[in-house]
Amino acid sequence: MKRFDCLKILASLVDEHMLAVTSLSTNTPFWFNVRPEGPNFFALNMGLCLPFALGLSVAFPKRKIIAIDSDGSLMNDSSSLITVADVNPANLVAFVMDNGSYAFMSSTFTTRRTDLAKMAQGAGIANARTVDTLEEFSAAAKQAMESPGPTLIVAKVERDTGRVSADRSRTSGRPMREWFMDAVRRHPDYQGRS
Amino acid sequence: MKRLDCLKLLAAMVDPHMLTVTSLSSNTAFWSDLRREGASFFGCNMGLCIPFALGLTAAFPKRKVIALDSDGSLMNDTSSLITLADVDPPNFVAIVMDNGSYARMGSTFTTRKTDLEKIAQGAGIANTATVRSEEAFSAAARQALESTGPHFIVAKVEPDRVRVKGDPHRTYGRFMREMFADAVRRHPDYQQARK
Repeated sequence: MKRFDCLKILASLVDEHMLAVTSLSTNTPFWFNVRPEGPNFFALNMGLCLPFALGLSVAFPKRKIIAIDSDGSLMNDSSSLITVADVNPANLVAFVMDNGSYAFMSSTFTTRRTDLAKMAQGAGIANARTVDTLEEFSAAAKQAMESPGPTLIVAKVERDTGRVSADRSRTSGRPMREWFMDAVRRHPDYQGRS
Repeated sequence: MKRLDCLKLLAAMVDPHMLTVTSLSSNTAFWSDLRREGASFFGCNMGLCIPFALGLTAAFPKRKVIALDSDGSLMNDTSSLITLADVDPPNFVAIVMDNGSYARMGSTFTTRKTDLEKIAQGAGIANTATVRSEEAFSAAARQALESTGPHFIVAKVEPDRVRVKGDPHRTYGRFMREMFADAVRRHPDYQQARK
């Protein structure tokens, strides 16, 4: 199963108002390619993707929040799963793209024994599972979008062979953040600053 | 089940050469009262008890290393369990005293949903247990000390009603560290361990 194929399927399930948050590295350029418009917050540092998405789920309880994390990043702060379970946000869907390695470190493995879905279940996230095929990914993602969460889906993907480039002014720094805020404000429910 | 009763049972099984590491707060005070001799490192900060003990297992592969952690501390860095599973040290025993609360914060709960044993299994640690009685604790601890690890035991204990005030000299700072290092050096294998 390829990460890019999973993300294409996911992009087709995401409407313009859903908030998406991506981890550093591969998830960011791939997701930018499949969903260039809409509220995307790109390239959260190691361990921060899921916690950032959790904050958004509390701030925007009526919208789906989609965290697109990766195994190396989540392992940097697996304790965030405990907080997610405790807050129990119905609108949070977390995807963990698990290629078993730190791709930007010439394929250093992340871990040889860990089952992240089981760790999430242990943390207290009942809807946590692992998918190995595109059909499973598609079905799990669809179901997660349509039902209350929190949901965590670990997608076992191959190591990426190709790299995709992305417009850095859209995926990092202040322009990215302003783009994100503009997209957030366009939502009809946006209350504005009090 | 009371934490102090568990620690008394454990103290009876621990020989002077085993290395012990405790998390902050109650574990440190209780354990320093029960184990006055031997190599004990006290008061590791939140999240650092298991990582510190993991380092000791690599430095002293022939000795049992016992981490006396607690739920609030471990939840600060559950990712250390991933590293523990990956390093897979046979001489490691982790005992997590789980009272479900941050005792020093007027009993603020730590979490309402988490199963630390399952997190450890998910991280990849095969030998795990959750115990709720002194008999089960005693059996699990004995088995862990006598067999190949790493072992991970969650002991479900009541919030402590009594406080024990540990001797600050023996449980904190440079004097504690020197006592620990002295005890480590007294081991007959110490020179070999350094090479």
